Amino acid sequence: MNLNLQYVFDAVLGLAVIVWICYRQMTWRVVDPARMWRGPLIFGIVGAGLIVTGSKAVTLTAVDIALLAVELVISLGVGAAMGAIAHFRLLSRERAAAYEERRRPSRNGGALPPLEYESRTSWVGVALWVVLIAVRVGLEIFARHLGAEATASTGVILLVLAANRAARVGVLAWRLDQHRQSITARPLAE
Amino acid sequence: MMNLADRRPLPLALNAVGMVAVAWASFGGTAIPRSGWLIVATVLALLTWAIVVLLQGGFVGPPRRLAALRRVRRAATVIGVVAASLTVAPSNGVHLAPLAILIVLAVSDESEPIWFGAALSALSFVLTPIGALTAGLGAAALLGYLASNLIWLLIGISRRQARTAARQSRELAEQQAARYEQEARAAALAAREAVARDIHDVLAHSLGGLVIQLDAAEALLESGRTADAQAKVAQARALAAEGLADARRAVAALRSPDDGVVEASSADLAGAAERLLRAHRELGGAAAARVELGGAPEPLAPLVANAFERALQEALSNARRHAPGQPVAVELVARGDRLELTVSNGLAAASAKSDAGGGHGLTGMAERFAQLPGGRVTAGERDGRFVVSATASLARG
Repeated sequence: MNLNLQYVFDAVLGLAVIVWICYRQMTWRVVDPARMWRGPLIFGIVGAGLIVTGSKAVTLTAVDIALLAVELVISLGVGAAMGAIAHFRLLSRERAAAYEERRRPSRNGGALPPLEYESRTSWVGVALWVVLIAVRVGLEIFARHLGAEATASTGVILLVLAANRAARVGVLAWRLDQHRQSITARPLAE
Repeated sequence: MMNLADRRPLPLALNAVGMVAVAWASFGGTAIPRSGWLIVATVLALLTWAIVVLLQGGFVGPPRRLAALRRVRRAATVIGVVAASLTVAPSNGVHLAPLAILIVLAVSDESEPIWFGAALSALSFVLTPIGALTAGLGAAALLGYLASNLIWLLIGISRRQARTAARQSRELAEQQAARYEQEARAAALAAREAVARDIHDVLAHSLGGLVIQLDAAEALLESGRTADAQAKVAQARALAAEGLADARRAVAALRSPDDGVVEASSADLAGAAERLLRAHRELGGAAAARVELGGAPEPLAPLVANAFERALQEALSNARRHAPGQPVAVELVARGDRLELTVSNGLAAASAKSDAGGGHGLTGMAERFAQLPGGRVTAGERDGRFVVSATASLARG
């Protein structure tokens, strides 16, 4: 009974996260340089915490580590692809102002970086999520087959999610940086 | 891209030493059980290592050959990373060396896109565990190998960033040099414009006046009025002497622009205006003048005084040239902290506009006043008269 409840909870949590993220793929989201690393960081810390202090005493075998490494790499790759296919557009002044209203001031008193763009990944992003989930399910079945248990835990799922988000944000930040450099380099080239 | 000649021998020698060490550990020692595919992997790792190190940078030649060499290097890197990372565990870690070199070089190479190095590193993270599982490695050892893979990636990234920073600072220095050159050229051009302005102002005025005076003298001589002619010639001489003095002053100011005229008083400016008006009348022009400089703060900035003197000179020359015989009204007044000059003359009856002037005078005037605080010049027809008005601030600082 207890085991069943645990699975239901995991499934509902996973589903909620996926629906939430799919919704976010389809809508234009403000690119906030001050906040974009927050999501992957929280996922990663909670995931690692769950693995280390989980109620089930998880002992990682070599198979577990191998599967985790493969899954993390695939997740990173999918995240990088998401960052690479994301569309940008300039933020309208009204939307920037509306976002700014809800923004909390920086805790250490420093000035927040300006909001310039919003982005979305649309259906290609959703398709990449489907790929990630398919890999996740496939690897879990494979892990059961090998007798590895640890990959099914919530902590690992969150860790994979964190890797995916981090890769996406990293590529996004790199693209924005390149874009800014190309803008500032142009007048000098003339 | 680097030239072949840039290749330093030391890294090549170090790599060769590393290759020999790996080869000895793999084939010379007895510690490792030698299976067929492990030997193949070792040979592949050493071979690709050698290829990639030899093909670092030094590409010269036509673009097609360059692209081919790059393809060879890429293929060698991929094959080497696959072979080495699959066999890191089975080779007891001996293949860490080629794996490290290949990943660090691929990630840090600025001529390759970052995704190439990232994909290779990802490949090493996937293939190292697979090789470890086939060799029956423990969890801790596998974690150690994965950590070393992460270290190679980080070393590559930091090297890449260092190279990017070096390249950017080099580009910045080049841009700065180009900008300095541009500024120097602009300064030289401005100096030439100033010289052209001064030459025009001094020479056009005095030589133009001389031509008129001498024409008149010639006419008087032809009609036998030698006494009048003599008077004209005397005036012409005075004008020439003034022009010469002006030219000397201009040349001196050009030679040392800072210690030319240190100060000018409003009396100086009024005297200069008086002189110019007298010359104008002697050249046959009619002029009604009002010069009130009483309220001007003393002393005047030399640049300001000079600009107004030149502007008046130019406006009078223009009036003589374009509307000969028309009376000229001149107003040079200090109002508060501003100095204002207005010169107006009736338009010539039959459009006697000569194109000879070319507009240099008004251009020079506008340039001069553009350099003064609050300086502005307008010139154009207004109510049937040609009006030139110039104004500038007298406030210091």
